[in-house]
Amino acid sequence: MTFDLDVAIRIFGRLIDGLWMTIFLVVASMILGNLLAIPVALARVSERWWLRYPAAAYILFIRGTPLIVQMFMIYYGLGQFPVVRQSFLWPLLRDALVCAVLALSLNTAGYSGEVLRGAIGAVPKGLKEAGTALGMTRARVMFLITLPLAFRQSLPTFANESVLLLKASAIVFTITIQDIMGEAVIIRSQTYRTLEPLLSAALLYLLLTFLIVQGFSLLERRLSVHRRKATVTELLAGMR
Amino acid sequence: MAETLALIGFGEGAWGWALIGGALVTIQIAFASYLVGIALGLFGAWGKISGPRWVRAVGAGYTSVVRGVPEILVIFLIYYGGTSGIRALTGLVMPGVNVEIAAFPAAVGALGFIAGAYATEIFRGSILAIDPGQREAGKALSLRPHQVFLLIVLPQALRLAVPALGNLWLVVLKDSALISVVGIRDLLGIGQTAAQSTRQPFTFYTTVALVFLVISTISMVAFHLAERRLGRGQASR
Repeated sequence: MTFDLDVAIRIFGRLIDGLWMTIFLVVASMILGNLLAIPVALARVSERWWLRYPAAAYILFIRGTPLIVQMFMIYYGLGQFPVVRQSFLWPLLRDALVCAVLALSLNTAGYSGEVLRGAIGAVPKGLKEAGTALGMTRARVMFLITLPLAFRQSLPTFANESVLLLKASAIVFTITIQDIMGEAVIIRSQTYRTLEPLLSAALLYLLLTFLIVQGFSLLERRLSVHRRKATVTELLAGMR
Repeated sequence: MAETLALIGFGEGAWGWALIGGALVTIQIAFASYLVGIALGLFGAWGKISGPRWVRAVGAGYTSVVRGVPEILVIFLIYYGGTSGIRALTGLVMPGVNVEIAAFPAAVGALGFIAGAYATEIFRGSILAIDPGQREAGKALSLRPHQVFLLIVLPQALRLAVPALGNLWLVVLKDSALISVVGIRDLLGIGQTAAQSTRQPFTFYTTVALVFLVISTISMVAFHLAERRLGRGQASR
């Protein structure tokens, strides 16, 4: 069992194909999942029990069961029902990629929904009251004051969640999708080499993790300009 | 509907007992991996805090690589790469001897290795959170360094670590489902077989999910109680 650098370099080209698939999966699920997280969080903090309880149950289910089982329920499971097979959605639900994005998004919605719920609770009451005092409706207060602040508040957690999403996305090869991990598994079975494809794939994932962490810290710095002390140059520029 | 429910019951041709067997395998593997992870975590935290420079570098590499690479990839690397590595090694020492590495220890090793990286960070944080005055007081009582650590720092650090360790258990439990991919007959593995042979995938995957949910819910309650018990005598914060 030795590691062959030449083989690793040749394999890298094929892993790059998988890289695009992984990036697509993560970006699509991040956008879709975090959009879905908003209604989940709003329902979770609602005063109406028929919104609050289902949202709590949804979050409990998503966080209390493995993602791979959730994905199998969608990809292999839904076809069990004739109603689903005969519906107009079947061509979509039969597609592995659609199912992968769906599973990852629904999963993200559960985790991010819970994060957002905490952050909504942490927005100072005075800010919301200020909005009401200005004659804003409750919906306006929610969408113009509470949610933007809650989003910024939970940005560090979202960075973590995104890394977890990237790592979680590697299981989609079990439903035939050729992401980085999928390509590595195929190469392994074709070449009977284990270390080269897997270690090269690991390197790509590490790179993506690094990019996500850097990207979020950049975003965080930009969105918290108000908390940073101005540099001398900026102060001078402001005086002019 | 009744027929479907009968499949997950315990009668003739039903999968109830098989699923319970699978659930036990899952719990065993998850629990063993969790213990391995905690042991690795204590070592890792010690190494990262007060080890020599090369130990610190190894510790830093361990935690950042494992936490930046998908769990399933680490499992594949250890499960396939590790086993063939060990085989190659024994082949060098004792040519002709073919070692078969059992699936269970390989799976526990892989999952424990992953859990260890997270546990390292948990323990490191909780050990560093202990007031240095506590350590100094121990030194003033002329305790030896390892006594200070074992008798003063560690008990307090463990209490701080309990909530995060509870979370880690839930993560390890859910990650353990991934080992069915390398062919182990755990809860999900059994569920897959049942799904294929009965052609009722949704029924069985949902059952598997619900069993996981029950185990996680019971664990959450248990950890909550443990936290409350360990929090006795602490001012509520």
